Amino acid sequence: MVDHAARVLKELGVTEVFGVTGGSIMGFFDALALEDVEIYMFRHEQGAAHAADAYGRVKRRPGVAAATSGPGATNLVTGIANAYFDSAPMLAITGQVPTSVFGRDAFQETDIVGVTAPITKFNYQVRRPEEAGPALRTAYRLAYEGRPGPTLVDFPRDVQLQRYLCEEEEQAYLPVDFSKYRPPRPDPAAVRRAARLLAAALRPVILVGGGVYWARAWPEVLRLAELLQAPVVTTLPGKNSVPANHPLVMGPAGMHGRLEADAALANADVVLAVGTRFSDRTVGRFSPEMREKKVIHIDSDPSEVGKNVPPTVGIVADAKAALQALLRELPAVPRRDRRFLEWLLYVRRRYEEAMENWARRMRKFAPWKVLKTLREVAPPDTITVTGVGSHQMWAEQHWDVYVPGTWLTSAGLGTMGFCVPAALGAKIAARDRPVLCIDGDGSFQMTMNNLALVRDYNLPITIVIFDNRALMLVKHWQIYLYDRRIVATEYTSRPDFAKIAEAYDIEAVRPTSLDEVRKWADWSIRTQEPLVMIIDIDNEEDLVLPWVKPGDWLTEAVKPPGLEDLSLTYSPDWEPPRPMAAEASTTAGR
Amino acid sequence: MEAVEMGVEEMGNARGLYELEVEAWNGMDAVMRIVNIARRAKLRYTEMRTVFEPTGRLRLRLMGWGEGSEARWLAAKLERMPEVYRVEARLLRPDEDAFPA
Ligand SMILES: Cc1ncc(C[n+]2csc(CCOP(=O)(O)OP(=O)(O)O)c2C)c(N)n1
Ligand SMILES: [Mg+2]
Repeated sequence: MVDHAARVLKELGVTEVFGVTGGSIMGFFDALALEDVEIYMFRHEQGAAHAADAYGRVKRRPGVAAATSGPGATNLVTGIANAYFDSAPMLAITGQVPTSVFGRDAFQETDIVGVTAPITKFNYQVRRPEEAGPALRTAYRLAYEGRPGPTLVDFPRDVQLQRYLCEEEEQAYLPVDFSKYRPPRPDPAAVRRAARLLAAALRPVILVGGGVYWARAWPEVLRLAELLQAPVVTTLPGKNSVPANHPLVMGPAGMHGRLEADAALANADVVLAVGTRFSDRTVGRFSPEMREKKVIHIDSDPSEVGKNVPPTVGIVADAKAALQALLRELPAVPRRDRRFLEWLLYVRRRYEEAMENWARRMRKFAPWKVLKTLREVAPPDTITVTGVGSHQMWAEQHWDVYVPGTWLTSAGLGTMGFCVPAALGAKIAARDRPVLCIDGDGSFQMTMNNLALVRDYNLPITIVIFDNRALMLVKHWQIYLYDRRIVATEYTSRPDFAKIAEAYDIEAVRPTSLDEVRKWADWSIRTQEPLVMIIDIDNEEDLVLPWVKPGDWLTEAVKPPGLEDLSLTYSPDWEPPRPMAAEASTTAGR
Repeated sequence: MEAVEMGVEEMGNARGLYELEVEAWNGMDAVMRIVNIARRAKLRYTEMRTVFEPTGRLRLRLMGWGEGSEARWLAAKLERMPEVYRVEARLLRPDEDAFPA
């Protein structure tokens, strides 16, 4: 049957599979090789899964990860969960012990269908050879149809080895009703109500999630923002959905959001939320403040609308179609007071100035200055991937995404170890584009074994390790919330990352100035030579601010030093300070 | 007992005893996946029954006390499952004093 399964994958357009072989999957790998599907030998199945997830996000079609039964399959679990919580299309294929020994605790038996049930959009165990084709086609299609997500197909070894001649026309799919994943057309009455709310709003704000990328709806978001003169804020994955250099885009809001974005969302009277599940990370807390706002929620997944914030108007539809309907419905919007926007730009300006001043006082590198330097060098279409931790939060605040689809981060699950393998998966998906991995020293150590693929498959990625020898984001919480008791968050100087890089035949550098950062990054990106750049960061000073403490409201954010006088609560009587007033018109962009 | 039948969207927020009826395929694996989601709804379950039909379809009935919003969340989640053809939710008995799960 495996030969047929490999052919089906090939017909679906699968040209590469990521994984680690073993007794229960080697027959399938053999069949894949005979079909000329390239197998990327990841050094741990978690890496293969993250790579498939990232590949799926870049290509907009599922990446495929395959593993053997038992430990191979369970090693995939973190990667599958990651794809699930970030709605990324991927297909996992696992080997399984023969059906004859099911439930007998045979060597390397794990019920992977049971294990992954709550973290897959769909999973299926193939019990007869003729199910293999329909199961693979169904799982592949479900991974991208509607809201994307991971799927899994489990192949018991005896079924794999049965002869199967697909002589008759076989059923294409399992009996799934795919039509329910086609989002309904936006309800005209709901669209009219939403349009009325927006037209009457004093301070409308558009909150953009990752769904806007999947619906390719950023042109509509920006048109609507321009029409309403409404600031746009994003979630962490929503950074992937709109260009940061549009003057109305304030950046990400939330626990680790930008100050002007937190200020925008906090002071909105009407929030138009598109393609987001309203995570607690984005709004700080739901009540009372968020529940007091008028909320229009557009999502293609009906189970998301009203899940966390009851909307005033809920629209279940494709984001692009709903926004187009809204644009048609909106009359010429009365021009509103531009004060609110001016105030937000003032907040931005104060914030940027404070960060500059703070950077000057830092003993070692200021993480955000490193990011800004890298951004100057990296072409706009560079795919940027992050690890999880303070470095990720700095990137959330200070890495500008210019091209939708070029920002890959582990947002929903927050998986340390995502960066290196995801960067490899992204590079495999887009070999012609630079890939930059912004990692933490802790995150890097979780999956650095996959660096072996850089030379093995010629995948020149640029890795920048924000090396604070700490699990800094947790240490940050210890400093603020645990009375500075530092428990299990500081590392020793082992290992030497330069030697790790050397072991994998990759150039490593430890820059001592921003100029050196610029020079080396430019070299790596321009010549397409892989690089590990180790950035020395002080783990006493590396506190990501602004920061909204868990349970606090956005206006209560702990601000960077020098902004103690800046209130995040807008007053309609606000006047620009004198020296600013003259320059107010030139503050857009950063 | 007079039941109030509702589409998932129209369900109100009344607290009480809810019944969900799910029609699906894929046997025990589907039941497992349905139960996996139901475990996470804040309902206090009183009964669950599944009939596996010779056609390969299954009918699962689930009853539990709780808020309408929870029953609605569960119904919406189940409806999204590829295995599921149909979900119906009804409020069997409104009860403001019903103790949530
Ligand atoms: C796999 C995993 N384990 C633990 C955590 C909890 N955690 C969140 S951030 C963090 C610190 C990450 O350290 P590092 O990668 O060095 O980044 P930094 O915060 O120092 O920038 C930890 C331990 C997690 N998110 N993922
Ligand atoms: Mg660190």
